[in-house]
Amino acid sequence: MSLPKSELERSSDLDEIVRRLEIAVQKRMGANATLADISVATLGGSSRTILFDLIDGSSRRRLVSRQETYLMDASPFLPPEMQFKLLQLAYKHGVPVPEPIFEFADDDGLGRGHVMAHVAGETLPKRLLNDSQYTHAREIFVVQAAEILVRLHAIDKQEANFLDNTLDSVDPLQAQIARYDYYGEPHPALEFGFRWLDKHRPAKAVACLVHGDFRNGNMLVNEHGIQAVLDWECAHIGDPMADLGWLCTRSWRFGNDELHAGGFGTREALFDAYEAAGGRSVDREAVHWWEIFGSMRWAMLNIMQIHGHLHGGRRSPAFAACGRNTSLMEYDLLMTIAGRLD
Amino acid sequence: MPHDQPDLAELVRTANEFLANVTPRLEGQDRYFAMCTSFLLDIVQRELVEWAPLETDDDQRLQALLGGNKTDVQNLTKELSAAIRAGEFDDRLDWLLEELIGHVTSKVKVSKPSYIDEATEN
Repeated sequence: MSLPKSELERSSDLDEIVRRLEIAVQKRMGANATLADISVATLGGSSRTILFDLIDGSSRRRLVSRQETYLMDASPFLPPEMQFKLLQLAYKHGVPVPEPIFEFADDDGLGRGHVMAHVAGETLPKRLLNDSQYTHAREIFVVQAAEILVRLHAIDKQEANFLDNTLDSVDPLQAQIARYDYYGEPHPALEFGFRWLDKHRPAKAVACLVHGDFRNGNMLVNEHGIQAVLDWECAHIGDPMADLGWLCTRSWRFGNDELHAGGFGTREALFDAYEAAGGRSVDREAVHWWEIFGSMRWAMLNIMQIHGHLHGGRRSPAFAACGRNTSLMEYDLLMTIAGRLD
Repeated sequence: MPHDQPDLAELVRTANEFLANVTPRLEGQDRYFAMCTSFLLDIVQRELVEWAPLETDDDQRLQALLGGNKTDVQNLTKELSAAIRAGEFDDRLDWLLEELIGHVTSKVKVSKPSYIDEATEN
């Protein structure tokens, strides 16, 4: 049986990418380095992730290559070179992340991206919330997450000053409105959300480096707890309460609605742990504002996906589903503002 | 013009039944996309049943929010969005919030009706 043409094209492309990847690795690690046990992780809408073993003499290490494959206009995501810098910064300060190994250069012919260490673990939220092997990880999740955030928020923001002028650092609400206007799909509920958020802005906080996408689904967890924090493409300089609010946003509870912090623990447990770990005192009203902001933002990310599906030549049933899922986030947004959901 | 059987809803249902049969045999991304496609076909079926009338309850709600001016149904959300942005509802935002909850609820009832039950149970 012959493969359909598109499959053939895809696999030969992949052979070429792996060949270039091996050359790129040899350039940095020496001519004897070889790749083995190569697999492609297919999920991920805007990047290609390849896992491989690096064999060098008697040592063998599993690594991950991440390439940017889809460039969007009005993208809410940081360019790969900034993501790599953030990985380096986080790694240096003991925030658990995959060790950054090297960045691709132009003459690697691999586009923009980098290679980092592979960290074993699970990211799928439903498994983390339900499977028995994660019982202990669930118990310590809130304390671990709080400690990680305190460590991150304590980094001198001068070290991340390459983020100073991004849209999300300057004004996160205005950044979302600008993207909404670019997508051009009318949503009265989101317009209401923008209005409400603008009228109820929290007191201006002392800004720091925030992760920006710190939630259940972006953390690699094993039976001992959180092993690595992934997805640094939304990091910016801003209010640390934003990371607490996003973690507690309703969508990331995956049905465990009473356990606000990612479905793992209550808001109060998270706040207590954050303060106990040496974080600044939690502004509860600000966290509430950021949770509402979070429902709006998750709606916006779904609109981004359907926009890419309709206009960006990047089609899939999942992106089509995202378009219609927008209404669920609008429901959370309005019902939370109305005080009928917590 | 009336078509022969099956009607639209039955066409969608047939496609979805087939998908449900083969999905368990798929793996990885194909399996995930098959489940997404089934979700999309469920939406089509609900939309056919609940939103088939030329003017839905939600159209009337949005029309009323815009002061009863006759607006092309396609432009209702666009005009309402612009009015909210322009601050035309700022003196009655609480009232607008309730109207918009009604509007969004009617969308969720098509996209994923179980979402509302799950939210109100807790």
